[in-house]
Amino acid sequence: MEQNPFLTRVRYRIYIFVWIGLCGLTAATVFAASEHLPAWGIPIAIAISGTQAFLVINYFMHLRHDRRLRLIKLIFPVALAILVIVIGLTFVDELFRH
Amino acid sequence: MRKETETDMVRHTEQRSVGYTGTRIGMWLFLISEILLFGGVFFLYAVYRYKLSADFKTASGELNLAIGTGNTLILITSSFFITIAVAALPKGNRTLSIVALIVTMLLGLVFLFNKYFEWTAEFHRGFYPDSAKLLTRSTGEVLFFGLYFTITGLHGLHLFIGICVVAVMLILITRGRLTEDHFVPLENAGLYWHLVDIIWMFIFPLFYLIS
Repeated sequence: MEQNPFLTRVRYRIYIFVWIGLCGLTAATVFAASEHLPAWGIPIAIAISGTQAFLVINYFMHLRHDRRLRLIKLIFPVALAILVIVIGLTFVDELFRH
Repeated sequence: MRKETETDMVRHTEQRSVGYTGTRIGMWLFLISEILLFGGVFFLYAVYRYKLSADFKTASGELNLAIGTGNTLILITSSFFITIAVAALPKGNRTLSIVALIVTMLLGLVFLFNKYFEWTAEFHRGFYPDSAKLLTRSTGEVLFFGLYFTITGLHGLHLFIGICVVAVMLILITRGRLTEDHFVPLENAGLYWHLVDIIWMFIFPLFYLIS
């Protein structure tokens, strides 16, 4: 079976960097929550989790280096965007209902 | 039987290539459907947190932040090891792949053990769905714990399935069914494991870190 060319070329070093980054971001999100910033709590938490997900998808799941999965590169963000739009529109509806 | 001509070989290679990409596209589509499954619960969470934010904050204070943070780091590390396992096999490093898969499984089990102790402690303190103590608290707190047990339970179930899948991959590698030329099931198992990790990255701040 044909191999994913990236998998035979990749160096383990990049995984170590990503792992350190993910642990650092976990520490950052715990620290941010301890700072008591009520208005910014959710946006900061979502931004950090989103960055972690971005790192995992691109490096651990190799989507960044995979030339054959261009369609998935498009579909994955679209699926996330649909989720954000659905949740966002619900709040807009809630805002204008009363 | 006639000898395989060059054209036949090219055709076979092309078919295998399509099969390889197709198998992974199938896996990615399944993962996207999983996002929408968990998305539904996060959607509920968003609505109730918006309406009952003070109650959610109080209820979140009842969770064990140390276990939550520890489990996050455990799951991130397990994702790192399964990436090593997936990358090592195509390079022909079968032993490293096996060791990394065993470590991944062990970390997954440690996560579930922690979750077991965490839930047990919460049950002892009277926090479980429909408990007499919980029902005396505010609506927001009841909803928070309902969502917490639903989503962490669903996530735990996914992780348990992930551990079983990794165990199967381990058997397939040791039996020589997965090799440096045929490893797409291992790659897909890795993709599934990472998704379970990503979902936890969102569960953790939304339930444990409400400031």
